[in-house]
Amino acid sequence: MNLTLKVWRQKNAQAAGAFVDYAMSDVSPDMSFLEMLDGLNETLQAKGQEPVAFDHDCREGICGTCSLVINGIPHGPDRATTTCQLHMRKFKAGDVITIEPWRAAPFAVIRDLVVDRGAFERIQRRGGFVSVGTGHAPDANAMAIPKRQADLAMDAAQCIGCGACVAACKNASAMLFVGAKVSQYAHLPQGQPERFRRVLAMVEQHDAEGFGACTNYQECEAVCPKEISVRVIGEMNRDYLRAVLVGVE
Amino acid sequence: MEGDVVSVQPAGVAKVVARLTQSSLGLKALVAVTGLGLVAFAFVHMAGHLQMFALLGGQEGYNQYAHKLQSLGALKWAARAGLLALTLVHVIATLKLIARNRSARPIGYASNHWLTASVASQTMRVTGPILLFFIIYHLLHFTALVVSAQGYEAMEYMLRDGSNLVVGDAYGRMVQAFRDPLLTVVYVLAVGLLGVHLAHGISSLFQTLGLTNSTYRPALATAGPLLAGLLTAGFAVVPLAILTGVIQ
Amino acid sequence: MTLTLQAKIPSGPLQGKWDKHKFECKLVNPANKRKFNIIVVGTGLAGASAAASLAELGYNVRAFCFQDSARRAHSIAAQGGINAAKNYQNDGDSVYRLFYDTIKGGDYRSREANVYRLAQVSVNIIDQCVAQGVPFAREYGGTLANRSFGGAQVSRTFYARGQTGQQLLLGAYSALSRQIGLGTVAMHERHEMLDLVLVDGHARGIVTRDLVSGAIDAWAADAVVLATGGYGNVFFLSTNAQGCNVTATWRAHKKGALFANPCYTQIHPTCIPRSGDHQSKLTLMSESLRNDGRVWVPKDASDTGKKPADIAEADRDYYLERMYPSFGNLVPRDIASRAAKRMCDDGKGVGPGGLGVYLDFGDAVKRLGTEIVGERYGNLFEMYQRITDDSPYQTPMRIYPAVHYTMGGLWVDYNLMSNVQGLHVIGEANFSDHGANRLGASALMQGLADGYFVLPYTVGQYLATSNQKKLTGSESEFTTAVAATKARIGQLLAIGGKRSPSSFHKELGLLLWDKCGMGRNAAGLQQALAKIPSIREEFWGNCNVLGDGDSYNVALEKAGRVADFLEFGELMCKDALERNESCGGHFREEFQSEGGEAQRDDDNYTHVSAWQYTGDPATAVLIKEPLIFEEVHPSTRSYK
Repeated sequence: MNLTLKVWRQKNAQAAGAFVDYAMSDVSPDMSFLEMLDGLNETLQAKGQEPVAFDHDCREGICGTCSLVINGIPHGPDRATTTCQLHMRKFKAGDVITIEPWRAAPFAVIRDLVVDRGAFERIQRRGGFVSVGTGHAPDANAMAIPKRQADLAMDAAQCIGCGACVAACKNASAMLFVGAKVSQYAHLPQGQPERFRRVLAMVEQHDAEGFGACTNYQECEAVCPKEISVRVIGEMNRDYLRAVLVGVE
Repeated sequence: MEGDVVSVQPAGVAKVVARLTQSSLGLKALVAVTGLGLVAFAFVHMAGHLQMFALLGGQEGYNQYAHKLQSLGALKWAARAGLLALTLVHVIATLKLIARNRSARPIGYASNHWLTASVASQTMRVTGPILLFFIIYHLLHFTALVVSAQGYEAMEYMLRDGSNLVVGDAYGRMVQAFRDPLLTVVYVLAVGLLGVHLAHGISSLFQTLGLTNSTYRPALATAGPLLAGLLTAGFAVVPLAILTGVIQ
Repeated sequence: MTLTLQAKIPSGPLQGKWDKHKFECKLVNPANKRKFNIIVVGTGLAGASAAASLAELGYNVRAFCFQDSARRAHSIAAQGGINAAKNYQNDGDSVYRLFYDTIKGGDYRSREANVYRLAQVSVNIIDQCVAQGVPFAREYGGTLANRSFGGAQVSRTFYARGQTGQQLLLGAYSALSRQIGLGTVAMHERHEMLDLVLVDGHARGIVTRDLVSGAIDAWAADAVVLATGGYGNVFFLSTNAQGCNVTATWRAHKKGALFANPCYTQIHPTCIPRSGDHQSKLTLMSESLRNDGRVWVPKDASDTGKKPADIAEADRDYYLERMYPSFGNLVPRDIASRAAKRMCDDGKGVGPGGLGVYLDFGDAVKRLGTEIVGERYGNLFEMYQRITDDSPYQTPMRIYPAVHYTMGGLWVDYNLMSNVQGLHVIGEANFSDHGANRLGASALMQGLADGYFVLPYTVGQYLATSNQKKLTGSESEFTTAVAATKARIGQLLAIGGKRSPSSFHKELGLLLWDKCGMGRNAAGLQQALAKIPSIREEFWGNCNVLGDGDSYNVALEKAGRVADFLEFGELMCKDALERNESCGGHFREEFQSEGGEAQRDDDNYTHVSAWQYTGDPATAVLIKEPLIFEEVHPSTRSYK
């Protein structure tokens, strides 16, 4: 099939960007979206033009590297699917596809469709861990954890840190990302000693990075490739308010 | 499994206040708590108006109720100050959040596509200011009696509770106001917008205050629009009953 | 110059070697630890766990990864689980049994002492991960759940849904993040290591390129740890992530580190076949599918064009059940892969190009019902459908083997140090624990064992005894390396030819898959060895690397990696040609039994083949480290 791509091109963080139209021909429905872009890049290079930069790595929907807002939807039209797992059979001949980078103040464009998600790293470093050094651990079965709690923790832990939640949120809020981490540990006994400290520090960093606030649009849940529920945001809100009102340093 | 073993280093009240008034979650909580207060008031207010119906009070009952509220003295002013404070905090915290949210996405998308966000959630920033203007208008209309209130001052009523007190005829004023189709339309539209605002607002405040879990979340998601609908219906039924002559 | 390899395996009984060695390792005084700088390259399971553990001990750590986050390393893709000899199921597992299974699974081409240590520390790994908040699957009683995996006869595999690799990596990453927050680890994302710097024969630093700004920098340290993963992407199509590459280990090899057993590559039997020339990677479907799925091809090659539903039961050849009646569809990975290849070579393959076999859940659905099959495999079926548009509930899956893991890697001694003093190599990047074939759910175990529980001890031993002077990174060795790296980048950008870097990668990959893939023979390997230098020559004359070196440049990154694959591929074929036997993942077609089974040559090949760089892969020098089996005696694997 033949398609028209409107791709955001931007030389670097300082340069101004613009959409460039590319006509694609002979796109196979069995191609993944990124393989279609590989094809575009081969064509561009053959013409002496620099390839379109986009983030990608595992191409099996788990590493969280790939991004792209496709026709206004982060990771494109397929639910619970990363861009790398999106296939061209979801499009039809003649479609015009607009491809944009994640847009948020803390996610500066590095080049074309590649953005800097370092803000997530800094949030993680403020409390996304249990402070247990190597070798300090008791026997793994020393503490029984109810299956329900383990499952709730696992639901939250599935977050791949791709940033689609931020990209989809009208406020560019990263609360689903922060909530997922906070919720994972809040459901496990191992996370209790640092529970309040964690949520206060991670939310503080979230705000300092310049992300917006959650207004419960729930768009984040809708685009999340791992279908993380906004339940985690509610849990984080509760923990945060408890920590604030209790007066934790 | 709640955080009972969490070690606590006291932070000081200043820190608590700072977190509530500066952090995104603190501000959200303020909007939610004040919203909750305003919703509670709105329900009481709505229930009061239902006394306009003959079965629940009629002219005598409604005017007695209005008089009781007016004679609360200092308590009345405290309540008014409280409502004003709730509204101010609700609005200011929201404005702070809007400013934060705007700066979080300086460059927008060329192509936008909403997947699940409700109309109510998308229009909070529109319904909110309109409601604020409506409330100001409403206060000037029925409380200060300075707008659309020709002849209101002169409308009086003698209570038949034995006191024989002559009070302002709140009942009569309502009836006069809503015999005017234009005013009725304005009020019904306004309480309709209130319903839209609260359809998102009520379920949202439970989420914001963390008063949900996987068991109650679906129920709360339905409860919000349901309660908002009830409130709108309760408010709208009185003007409509007057316009159609059910209340005379 | 001849090099003799010192594996430094401690003396004494197998069971006591590691404890004895830990006691004999020199310790670094706690107050002195902060004076030592350690570089860790790569932040997968091995790198992240090592960086975090070393920092916890008090060392100054500097970690590098080419991804935009340490959490994205390809360890994340492991689905099945992690083995540990906990014996929580009371089903007869033990450290010794895990050791034995791993040695046998590796086809008797690994070191006993290393494998025994791996089995020993496996139990600590689970403890550590649980303490970090890794949400392993649990029973209703709250204890950890286990399953049997990859044909093991005991249930020793711990798992977290189908995302064990991700959850374990997030555990290690959380420990690493904590140390970064504490300032004990300096983390450099989007940095690629392009050279190793030796001073006085010791590994003392690296040269990196900042992938965003293009800056070339030198970093000095007291020890260097490579945790840069495997080289499976040399085949172009593999289950590896797009960014996986051999550059760091190949650069170290060119600076003197020996490359061991490069021909040992693991082919995973259950991957989604390629659908066309556009294909960029192969997607693995968990091995667990073979628990309920039945593998078959049409008996008659003329039926391969028919729809599977139109092929009668009697006309189907359930070849694994026929050839291996006792293990059936659950034979180890190498055996299942080769059998599929044999069927396709006989013209019985199905789908485009005849490269695929059916994995059929029809019987399972009949026996268990759609619901139970969905519970067990629903996620995988969805993933399959997303990629192929076919529903495995209704029609058999099509699968084909694909390159998955590489057992070979830089040679290391018992301390995980290469022959280059101070250069430590951990995880998939080293060669040490899996022999010629890796068992399922053992890669995660090895990565974390190396990083959490082995390296932190052995690095101390090196630092306490090496007595090297302090360096700043501005010494001539560093400036020379930086200049050389810049010159090479300039060279790549100046080629100015016509073909893209990817086109060379694809050409090399197809050649290697054809000649050095699932089946290899001397004639094919010789052809490959003749062809690779000419591809390399064309690359340096006709590649077109657009853009500049001072900015984010995906073409330049790719070109650098392909250039290294073009050299490494030759060494891989050379090693495969030299090893005149079949063992594990290395199947030389000349060395097979009448029934088509691999035939080892224990008399001549019970050794590690470690290759020394001489300036040209063609003339690499082979150095052998004999493998001595004191506990188990090599026997022929049989799964009949």
